[in-house]
Parts: sequence; structure tokens; C-alpha cells
Amino acid sequence: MASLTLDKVRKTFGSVEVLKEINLTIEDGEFLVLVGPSGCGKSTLLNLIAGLETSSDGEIRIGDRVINNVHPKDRNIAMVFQSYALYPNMTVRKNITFGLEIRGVSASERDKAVDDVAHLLQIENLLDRKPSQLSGGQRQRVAMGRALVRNPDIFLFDEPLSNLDAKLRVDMRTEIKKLHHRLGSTIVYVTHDQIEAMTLASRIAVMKGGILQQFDTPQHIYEKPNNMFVAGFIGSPSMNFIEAKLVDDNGRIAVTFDNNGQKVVLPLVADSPESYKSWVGKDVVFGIRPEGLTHKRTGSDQPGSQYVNFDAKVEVIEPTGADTMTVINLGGKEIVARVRPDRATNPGEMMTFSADMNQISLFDPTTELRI
Amino acid sequence: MGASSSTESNLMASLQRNLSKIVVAPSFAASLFFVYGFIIWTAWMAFSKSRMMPVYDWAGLRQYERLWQMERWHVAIENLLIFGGLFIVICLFLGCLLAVLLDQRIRAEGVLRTVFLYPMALSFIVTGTVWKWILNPGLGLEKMMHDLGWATFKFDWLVNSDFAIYTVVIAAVWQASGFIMAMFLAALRGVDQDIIRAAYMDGASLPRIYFGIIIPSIRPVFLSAIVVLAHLAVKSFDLVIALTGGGPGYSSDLPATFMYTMAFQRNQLGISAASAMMMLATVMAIIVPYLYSELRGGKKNG
Repeated sequence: MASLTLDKVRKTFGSVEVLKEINLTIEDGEFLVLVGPSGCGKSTLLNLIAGLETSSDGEIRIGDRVINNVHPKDRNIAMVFQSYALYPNMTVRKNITFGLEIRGVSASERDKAVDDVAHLLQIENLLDRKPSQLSGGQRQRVAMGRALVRNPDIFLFDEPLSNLDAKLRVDMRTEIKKLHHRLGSTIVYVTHDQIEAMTLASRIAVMKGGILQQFDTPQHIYEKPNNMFVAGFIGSPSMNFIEAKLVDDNGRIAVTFDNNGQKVVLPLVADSPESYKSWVGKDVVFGIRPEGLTHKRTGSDQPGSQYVNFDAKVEVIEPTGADTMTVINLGGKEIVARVRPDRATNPGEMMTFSADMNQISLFDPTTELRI
Repeated sequence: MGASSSTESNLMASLQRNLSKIVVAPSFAASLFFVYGFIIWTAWMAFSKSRMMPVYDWAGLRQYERLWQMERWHVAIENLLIFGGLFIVICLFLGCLLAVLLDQRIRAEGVLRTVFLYPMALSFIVTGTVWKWILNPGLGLEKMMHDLGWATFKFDWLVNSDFAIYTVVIAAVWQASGFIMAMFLAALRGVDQDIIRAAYMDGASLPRIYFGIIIPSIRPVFLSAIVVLAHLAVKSFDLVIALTGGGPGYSSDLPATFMYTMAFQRNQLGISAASAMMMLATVMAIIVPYLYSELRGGKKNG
């Protein structure tokens, strides 16, 4: 187990720059999730750490050791692949011990290591089978066993759950999390699924176009996204963006936007950042998550409340059981509100919504950065 | 009116239903007659007293007895074992090696692949003729070496009755190994790249990755390649005719050339038919277990 540092790491393929100056540091025992849409460079970054590709510039360190020019087998890392990449001609036992055998570990030690790992992952009864005789979930366990048995400093996971069906994916996700708690190992995990990122990570690195967009704890990324991309990518349903204007409303800063001819004015909470003042009179993008936009809350009529009410016509409702997603149309854009089922109304009716002004984000419409 | 149009539409409907059967029927009938019909006819001939012309008198196993008493048949069988064995082993080895080397994401792979595969596009007659020129001591390789000044160079396998069969092996390997390479290359390309990367991270060297993991996992291709090569070996005819003509003497005869000689030059239809049946039995011994395992495997996977 060890910390991992990426210092100004760049990667170019010919003239194409796929990674631009990535700086990341995770401590020993942290669970880092690299998340982003396909083509964002997250898998390339993982391959750089694994040593399957070499970086064009910058330094990669495990602990204090620079590993840029160290052969993958000497980096003391292990990787779990998306396709599991089990050796099809070997039994599960051989698959798990192959790496140990090459490293010259004695047969008795190998047997003990396999037994330990098999017990941990509950695959004892599968040890003498071939990979083709296993289900997807079992293959996934074997692939993890093959990584675990080496007892590496850092585990790398390359979209390990994307080949599993939805139910199994949730189960395996929990299992990986448990495993991490139990072993306390350092993990770098690549996924395009933001839910996996949120649930697993101790810190998330959101990437897009080879650029690190934000690197922080899941909760902070969720609540205070750096830019509109991160805000839209993390969270499901994703954050609502409304084109709005900041105005001075009787001494308080307020967001105002057009609601089918009517002006909606939502005063900000009193302890809003000072920086908002310089944006008064300018266009902004008002971002609010669906759960910040609800049915009318108690106490929302009192002055100074964090909840502000406005009326809008319901277009579509999508019941999910726990909540009813209510779609309204504001300024030509579809906006989703998360409403308690017993307070939901039918499409076509007017309804009073409460916006939780503690849960808002404002973005610069041109740079898309957080204000 | 109404009645006739309904019978017409009935006719059209039944035509549509049976269209595939109608289309296939002529070729089905033709292959039934020309392939299986003549196999049966040949089998019958082998039990007859036929010599120059086919006669239909029952002679029991006499033609087979005569066949196995001929020294020339034994030479042909022995040649088939030498030729078939070497041909299959060398083709598999070279094909596999070329495929592994081509699989290293090298430059100009497309060109090289075509170069290696191209001999398969030639007919065996052409291959045989070209190699006859190359191996002819007075014309080809030996002559070239002599002209270059290496006067003691000797390479006369083509006209040496002990070695003539090996020239057939050389030409056949040249022709078929590219095809085997293509088969292996396709299989190698089907192997998940992540497996190679996983093994690489496990610390395995490249030869170990190939011989320990990749090649064992494409074992079915070996079986297919052996079947393809084996049947090529058994039915080899034109290559021998073009290259050595079965000679010197009959030292490079194969069963197929033996059969041809017996039927059309020596007026021994019965012996010829018996040797044809022996070849059929050999091919069946290879193909039937293969088909059996393939079909059973298909059922298991399906």
C-alpha cells in the first residue's frame, strides 16, 4: 500500500494531446475514481499508472519512487480489466497463481495465497474450473482474486462492472467497497458511471477532453461543482440549468428568469458569497438540482426563508416510487423537480414549487465556470 | 374468373413457400448423382474384375489383394506418410510463427500478409511448374550457384529418387503455409488484447505469453488447420504431376497419382477403384471425427 502522485503528467499521440497536465495526489488507502465520458482520457491515465503506456511528460510516483520508466511487473500494482482478461486455457487456480509463479513464489506459498484469496472472495468451489464455465459475476471475482493475490501497493480497476447486468453490478459495487474497507488498500478505479463514482470514491477526479475538471470528495463535487460540465455529469437526474439574471431586489441579490411571460424572482439566501455582488445586472446560468426544486415546503412563506415559491405548469410526471419527477417548462427549457408522490399533481395543472436557495449554483454563461 | 384467380394465387403461394427447395434441388440432385453416385459406382468397381473397361462381374476382394501386393502402391503410401507428415508439421510451424510475428503490430503488415498469402491464389500446376524450374539442377538454383562461382554446390533432389518426394514437400509448404498463417492470424486477432496486457502486468515475457496462454487458447484453430492440411495432402495430385510427374520412376508417387496411372495408363480400373476407396477411407478417418466433434460442440454451445 502506498500513496500515488501524478505530477504534470501529459500524454500525446502524435499531435493529439489526450492528457493535459494532470496533477493528482492520493494518500495511502484512498479510493480514487476517475470518471468522465468516453474519450476523456481516463483509461489512458490508468494505463500510464499501470505502465501499459508511457507518459510524454511529467512524473508518476508511488510512495516516493518515480515509476515512469519502471516495468509494469516491477511497479507492484495489479489491474482488473473490463473484459476480466482471464487466461482462457487455465483453471481459476492457475489464473490466480500465474503471476506468483512467474515471480518465483514457491508452490506451498502459492497454495496458501490462493486459499486465502478464494476464501475472501468466496470462490473456493470454483478453483478447478475453466473461465468459460463461470458466470460474469464469478469471472469478475476471479479477476479480482488475481489482483488481490499479488498483494500490490495499488489496485487499478478499469471499468470492472460495465459488463455485468444491473442487479449484479450493484452487488459487486457493494462488495468492492467492503473489500476496500477490509484491506484498506489504495485503489484507482475508472468508470463512466457517475453513480459508481459517487458511491465508491473517497475522492473523485472528473475528466473531460484530457483535462482534469475537478478533483475532490464526492459530496463536495456534488454540492459545489467547478463548472457546468461537472454539474451536469454528476447526479441523476442531472442538474437543471436556467438562463437567468442577477438583480438587486430591495437590497437583496436575487435570481430572476422568465416563466412563460411571468417574471420569477428568487432572492438568494443572506449568507451568499460576496462574489455574487459583482454579477448584479449580468446574465448568469442558474443551476439547481432536482431535489432542490420540490413541492411547496412548510415555512416557505415566511420572509427570510431559504425556500422560495413560484408557480409553474406541470408538463409531464415520471413516478419513480420514492419520488415523482415533475417536468416543468421554464423559458423553453425542461426542468425536473423532485416532488413527494402525495404532493404531485397531474400534467397540465398549475403547481406551486419551492426552490431551496441553499442548494443552488451560479455559473458564468460564457466560461461555464462556477461563480 | 374468381376461381381461376384463386388457384393462381394458390400456385403463387406454394411457389413462394417452396422457392428455396426448388432453387436448391438441381444442385442437390447433381451432387447426389455425380459425387455420391460415383462413389458408390467406384466402390462397386473395386469389387469387380474390371481392367481396361468397366465390367460388373463380382470379384470379391481380389482387386484389394492385388493392390496391396504392388510395390508401387507401398511406395505411394510411404510417400503419403512422409509428405503428409512433413507438410502438416512444417506448415503448422511456419504458419504459426509467421502469424505471431505479423501480430506484433508491425509496419506494412497488410503488404506482408498479402505476400505470404499469395501463393494460395496460384494453382498447384503453376506452383509445381515454377518449382520444377527452380529445383532443376541444370536450370535453377544449382545452375545459379554454379554461375556465381560455387562450383561444388549440389542440389539435385528433384532428380534423385530418394529425395524427390521432399521437393514436393517444399513446394506444397510454400503454397499452403501462408493460408495457415492467415487462419492463425485471424485467431490471434480474436484474442482479447486485455489478456496480453494482464499477462504482461503479471510479468510474463512475450514468448511465455504466446506459448503459455495465447496459443493454447486458440487450440481449435490447430484442429481446423490440421484437417485442411491433411485433406490437401491426401488429395495432392496436380502438384506431383507438374513437379515430378511421380518420378524419377515412380519414386514420388502419391496415392492420387497412383490411381490416375492405374486407371488411364495401365488399364487397371479395378485396382484404381480399390486405391480410390483406400483414399476415401483415409479421408473419412480424418474428417468424420472432426465433423462429429464440431457438430457436438455446436450443440453444446448453442
